[in-house]
Amino acid sequence: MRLAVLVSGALCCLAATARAQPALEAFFEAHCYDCHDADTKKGDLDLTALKPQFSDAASFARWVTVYDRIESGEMPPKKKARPPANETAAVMKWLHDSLLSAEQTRLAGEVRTGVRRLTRAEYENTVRDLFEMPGLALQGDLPADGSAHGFDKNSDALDISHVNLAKYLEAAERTLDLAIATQPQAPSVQKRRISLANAGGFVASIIMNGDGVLLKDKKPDPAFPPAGEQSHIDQGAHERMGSFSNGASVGLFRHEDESVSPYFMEHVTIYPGRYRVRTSLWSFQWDKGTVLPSRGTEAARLSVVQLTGDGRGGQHPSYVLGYYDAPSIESKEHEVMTWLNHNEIIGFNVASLAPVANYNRKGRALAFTGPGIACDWLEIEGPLHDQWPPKAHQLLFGELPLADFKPAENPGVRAPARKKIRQIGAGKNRPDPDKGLWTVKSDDPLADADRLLAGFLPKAFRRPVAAEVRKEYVAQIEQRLKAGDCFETALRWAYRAALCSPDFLYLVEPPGPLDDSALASRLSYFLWNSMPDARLAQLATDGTLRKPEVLRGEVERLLKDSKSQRFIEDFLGQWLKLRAIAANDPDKKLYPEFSPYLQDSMVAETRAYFRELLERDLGAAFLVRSDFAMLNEKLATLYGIPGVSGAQIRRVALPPDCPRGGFLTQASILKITANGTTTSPVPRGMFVMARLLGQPPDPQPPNVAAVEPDVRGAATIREQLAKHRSEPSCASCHAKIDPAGFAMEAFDVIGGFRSRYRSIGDGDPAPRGAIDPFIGISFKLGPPVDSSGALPDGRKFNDIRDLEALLAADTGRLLRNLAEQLAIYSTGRDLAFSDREPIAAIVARTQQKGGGLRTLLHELVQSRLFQTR
Amino acid sequence: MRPSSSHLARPTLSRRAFLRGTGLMLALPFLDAMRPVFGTAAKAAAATETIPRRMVAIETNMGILPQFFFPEKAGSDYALSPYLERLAAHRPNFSVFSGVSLPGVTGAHAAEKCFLTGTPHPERGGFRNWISLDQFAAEQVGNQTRYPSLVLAMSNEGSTLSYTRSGAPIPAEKSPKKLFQKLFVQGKPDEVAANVEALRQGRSMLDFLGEQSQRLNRTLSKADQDRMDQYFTSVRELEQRLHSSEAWEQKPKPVVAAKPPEDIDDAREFVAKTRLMFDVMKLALETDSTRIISLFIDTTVIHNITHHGNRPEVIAELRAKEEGQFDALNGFLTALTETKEDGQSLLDRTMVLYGTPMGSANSHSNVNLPVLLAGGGFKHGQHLAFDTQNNYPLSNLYLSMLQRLGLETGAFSTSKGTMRGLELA
Repeated sequence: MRLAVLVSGALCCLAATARAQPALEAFFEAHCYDCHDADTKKGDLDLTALKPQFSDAASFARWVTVYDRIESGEMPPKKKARPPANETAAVMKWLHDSLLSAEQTRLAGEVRTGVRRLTRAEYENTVRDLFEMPGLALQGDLPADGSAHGFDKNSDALDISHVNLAKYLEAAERTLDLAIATQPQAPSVQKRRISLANAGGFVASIIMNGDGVLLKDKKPDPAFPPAGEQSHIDQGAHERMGSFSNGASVGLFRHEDESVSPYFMEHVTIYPGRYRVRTSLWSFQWDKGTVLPSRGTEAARLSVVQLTGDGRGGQHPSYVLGYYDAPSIESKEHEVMTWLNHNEIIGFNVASLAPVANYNRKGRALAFTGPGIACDWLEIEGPLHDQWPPKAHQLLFGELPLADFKPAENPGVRAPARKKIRQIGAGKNRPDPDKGLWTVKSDDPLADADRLLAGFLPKAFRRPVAAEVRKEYVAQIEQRLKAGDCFETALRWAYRAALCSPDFLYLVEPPGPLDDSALASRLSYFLWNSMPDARLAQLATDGTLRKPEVLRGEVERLLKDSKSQRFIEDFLGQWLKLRAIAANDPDKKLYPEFSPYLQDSMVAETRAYFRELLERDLGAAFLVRSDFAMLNEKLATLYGIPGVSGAQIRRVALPPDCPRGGFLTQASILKITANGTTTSPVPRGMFVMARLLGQPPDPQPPNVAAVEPDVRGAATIREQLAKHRSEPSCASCHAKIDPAGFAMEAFDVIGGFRSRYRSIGDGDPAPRGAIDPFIGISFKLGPPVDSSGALPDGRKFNDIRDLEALLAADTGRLLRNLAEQLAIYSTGRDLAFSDREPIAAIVARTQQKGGGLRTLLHELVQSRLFQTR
Repeated sequence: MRPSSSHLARPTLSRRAFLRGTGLMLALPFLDAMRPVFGTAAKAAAATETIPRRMVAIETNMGILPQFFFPEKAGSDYALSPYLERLAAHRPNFSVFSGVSLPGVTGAHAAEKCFLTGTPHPERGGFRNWISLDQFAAEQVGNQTRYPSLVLAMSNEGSTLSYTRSGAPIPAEKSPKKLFQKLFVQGKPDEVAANVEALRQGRSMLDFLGEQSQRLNRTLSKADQDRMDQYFTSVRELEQRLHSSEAWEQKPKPVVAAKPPEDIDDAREFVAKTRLMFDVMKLALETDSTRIISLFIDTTVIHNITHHGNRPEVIAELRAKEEGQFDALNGFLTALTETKEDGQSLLDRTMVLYGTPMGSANSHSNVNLPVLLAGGGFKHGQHLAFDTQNNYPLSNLYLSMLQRLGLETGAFSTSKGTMRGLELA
């Protein structure tokens, strides 16, 4: 066969003689061609046809694969004779050097990080930080960003089109609407205690239906007895009597669902800004009309909801403010500072309670025994301004005074446009009386414009701005002033243009080593997902930022700042795919205990865990194995860990045999890698390979029939997969992909531990376990779970703990993968063959210094790889 | 992977299409003269004007149970499947396809953004989408109507079927109520004046931004200049759009008898929501407010039951939902049939593509896609059956549709030619 190939055509001979390296040819001849020639072509690889032609991208990639397979020892396969070590080493060195020099030639003089626009999260954060309006909501209206090489911070993923541009124009308009002060004084601070129940509101009717009660002094309110068989007085009568506004506490039994979402309707935000929100909560056991101590500490959720046009309700909670403890009988007060946008209100949910409904139950509240959560009141105070005009206004207009705009004194000048403040809904807060048309006043408009832009443009563009660029803006302002715009309108035009200009929207970096301001930006967009602050910008201006010790100090400072939470959320959202946490709702029959509270807790665990690893500078083994976990009561219950009470996430030491803690066994990861109904070792194994070990498996070959999942209880996924794996064409990849997934089979789609699959069809009655007594058990127990397996190198494991130990042993690999992920994320470019050595050096230096993850972050930032474009 | 230029090159226009598309200054007065009152004067216009062709492309993203969709027999004497039974009244006016898929489009749910683009491998690292079928068409025929195209979705997320030439997603309108307002509710004169002024200001700002990007460009490397060029192109395209909007802003919007719809918020009511959207879409086509529509029906709310795991009761639940969707489609087709233009039904002039990027949602497969095409002036009434093992490219159907619109284009996305067996009526 070999002979036939060699003599069969001139082409083959040419290919053979073209080999620059006879040693390579001999090596392939001796160890590879048996399987990888034109006839056998195993794995679709014909080495005889693969020319040592490294300048061609496709051929280069193929050679890298060949290199990697030999280097990892995967090839030649175990069952064949091993090549002598010195032979392999010589061939590998030649191949390595050839690949490296070919790539260095190709990349010489090329910019690795393409110029790119901000992602929408970066855009929103940048505007928030620039104008000091934390909480301004902008990104929801921008088109979604793409993703390349696992992250959205890559120029390949960040296209721009007329659609984006139209949205930027709108967003800049909205930002300036909020930033510019139009009244001589700040809106008056209003402080009000409001009830969850209000006349005409939703919660009032919930109470009328017996899914809630009014309580006074921790007892049923005598003025409004609990709803029983008959509605004693109708709702209108109660409203006239003021029953809902007599200061009673509101106790609720009913969890939010598609038709019930309780809101505090008596505050509807008019003026965007910072607000202090306080509330007082407790829990109780309701027993047919009597208030008893509760089973423990319950948790209530406060959220921010955008009220929709008719003012009656909103569909989409903008975001969750937090989960707050409601201890038994004793009221507990909570306080949170938050930014509220126009028309936003506060929403409420009895997060830790099971879904129950009394409205169609005989006897309603008087026949019901079960837990409830009470809210005494909600207090909202704001908008809170430290100064007036606010900092956002000052950024635009400096110290110029605000003055009453009198048309008579401004002949030929158009008055600035003002949008009317609309109040919707049942808010008791009121807009301030309008004090007339106020606007900023300048006695020397062009000089002021020039001075203000000289301050604004470098801040907004995050680098020095040439005088000629500023002059172009000033020239526009001059034209607008001549055309009859007032000072504010003319400057506003320029600011809007600046916010939509490529200088603002793009990260502009010089080729080669980053200059000081580009380094400041790279660091701040990495660790804050936003622009540099004043200090970072100053260090760049001074030229001291790049000193290793200064840079080290800044990394520490940025990480300590609360803005670093944006890095944790953005990075984990993509690296560990946390953004996909809600992609699948678990099947209600198979997983009746699932709740939004559990889902939010899952995400909080993973974020808190990563932060803990960074803060304590823990080693890479902790990525997969841990002796502690970051938990709240909800997660601890799911994980079967006793002694954790309350909604807040905290560090919990784990019993020695507990597999929890590391990412592999966090409920978030287990949910993201399942489809809501079933699990499969394949996606979970792929997740571990690609996200934790840095070895993304080859894509699935086309036209392979996928396994049809089945939950009728007959066959397990392993049994179905076994058939698939027995196909020779599938076996080699699946031997690498599946093992981690096998061990993770011990966890269901919501992250619960299981020794048997849940089934809807056949099976045994399932015990309740830790599932809330108010939740029906709608599933059975099916076949047992087998979570044993073997790694591709033959090392066996019996369960997840064994697997964790095997993976944790290779900290170098875990560390290298994390270094790569952080590098791709922070530099906004893909990694090439020639980046392997710099990455290895970063990993080696990290390991010399103890191998901690914060050390890794420092080493990355100190590296040339990070500091070069 | 980047598209090879031949696939996405702007098609050359036929002379007729070119005349129809020479910009608004020509097209507006022309249209105005031809259609003083929408619908009735169209008869007079028909003598000289070419037949207006329209296209509606609809994706339902969570699959369609294949066992209830595909007919068994190929050809024109096939027996209607349970789902197609719901469309029985329109049998002569649609073709159903089997054994079709988009070549290389894999990645389970990731494929939903490629249903109209056909871009291979959305699940891979450096993925970048191509231009979608509707936007490709809108580039050529869009300037004949107030809106070049409508991009719609029944969804609470950012879903869209439509992508620009650079692969950027175009956000969809999700509210039938807002869509109705945009199409038919006339602004007050001062609002119109304010809008026109805002559009003018926008254009002057765009001029300035274009200059800024060119100034910045001079400092950039060649590769970066190419990237920055995208910004410059965006500026120019938006300018053209604002220019066109400004012209339309001064013309009164069409008047319709229908009442504005009230939106439904509950995501589970996606069938009822779809009906509302269909109602407004029919009005948009009838008034010639647009000729190109994409609609993304996001049924993520039933995602968990699509992983039915072969449980009979879950399949029954899913089937009931999907039958509801086909009933809604039937209502839309009926409405288009009953609306006449120049004595022809609107359906005869409107291609309605309906399908899903998933052959089986339970196993996440992206082959053997359930797809049908109704109306638009093709010979219908048949089941075009292709090889279920080795699928026929669905992109060929897209090419047929583009050509039916009057575009002289020889390729779209991964097409290898026009759809075999689908002939013009």
